[in-house]
Amino acid sequence: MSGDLHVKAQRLIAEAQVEGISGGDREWLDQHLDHCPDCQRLASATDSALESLRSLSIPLPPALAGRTQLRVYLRAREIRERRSAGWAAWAACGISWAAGIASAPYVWRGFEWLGHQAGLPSLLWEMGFVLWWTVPALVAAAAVLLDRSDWKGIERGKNDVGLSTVQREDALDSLPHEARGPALCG
Amino acid sequence: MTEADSGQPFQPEASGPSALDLATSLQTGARIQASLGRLPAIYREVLLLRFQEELRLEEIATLLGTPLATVKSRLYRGLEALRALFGEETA
Repeated sequence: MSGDLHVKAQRLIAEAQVEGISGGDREWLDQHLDHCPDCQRLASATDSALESLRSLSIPLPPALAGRTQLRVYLRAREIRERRSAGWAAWAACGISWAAGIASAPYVWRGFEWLGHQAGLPSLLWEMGFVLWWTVPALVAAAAVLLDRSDWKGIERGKNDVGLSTVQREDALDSLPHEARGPALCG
Repeated sequence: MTEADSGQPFQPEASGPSALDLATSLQTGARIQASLGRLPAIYREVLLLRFQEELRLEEIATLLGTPLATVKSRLYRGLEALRALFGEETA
C-alpha cells in the first residue's frame, strides 16, 4: 500500500513538469512530500535538473531549430491577430448597441407598418421586432464559432507546422533567412 | 565608523552573482550538457523543446510529426533518464 503511494508520488512529480496536475493532486503531492524524504529527494532532483536545463542555452539540431523558430513566431503572430480581432469585435458590439438604441423607435414603426400592411396580429409583429434584436447576437455567435473552428484547425496541424501552404509561404517570407532553417527551405 | 575601526575585513558591495555563483553555474551547465549528451536523440529533442523552448505538447507533436502520446511517453522517459544521469554527474 505504502509502495503504491510512492509510485503515485513519483508519477505526479513527473506529470507536474510535463503536463501539469490538478489542484487536488498538487495538494496530495505536497502533503506526501512533507513526510517522505525519498520522494522529496526525487522531486528536488527533478527540479534541479530542469532548472539547469531551462537556464542554459543549448542549441537544437539545425533542422529542428528552424521549424521551432517558425512555430514560435507564428504563435506570436496568431496571438497578435486574435488580440486585434478581439478589439474589433468589442468595437462592433459597441457600435451595434448604440445604433440599436438610436434606431429602435424607427424599427418599431417599420415593424408596425409592415404588420398593418400584411394584416398580421400585433403580437406577431411585436415578436418579430424582438427577434430582430437577436440578429447581431446570432451573427456574433457564428463569428466566434467560426473563429474557434479555424483556431482548432491550426492547432491540429494542416502540415508540418500547422498551416496551409499559402499561410506557410507568407510566414516564411516575413521571417529572416537565418531563422528559416534547412528543413523549411527545402 | 571606518573599516579599520570596526575590525571587519573589507567586503565590496555585491553587484551581481559572485565568482562562486558563476563557477557553480558553469559547473551545473557542464553537468546538464553532459547528461543531455548521453541521452538518446529522441529524448533530448523533446526535452529541449518542452523545457527550453517551452512549447506546448501539441506543438511538439506537430513539429516532430509524431502522435501526442508518443511525445508524452518520450518526455516521461527522457525526464527519468535525465534525472538519473544528472544525479550521476552530480555525485
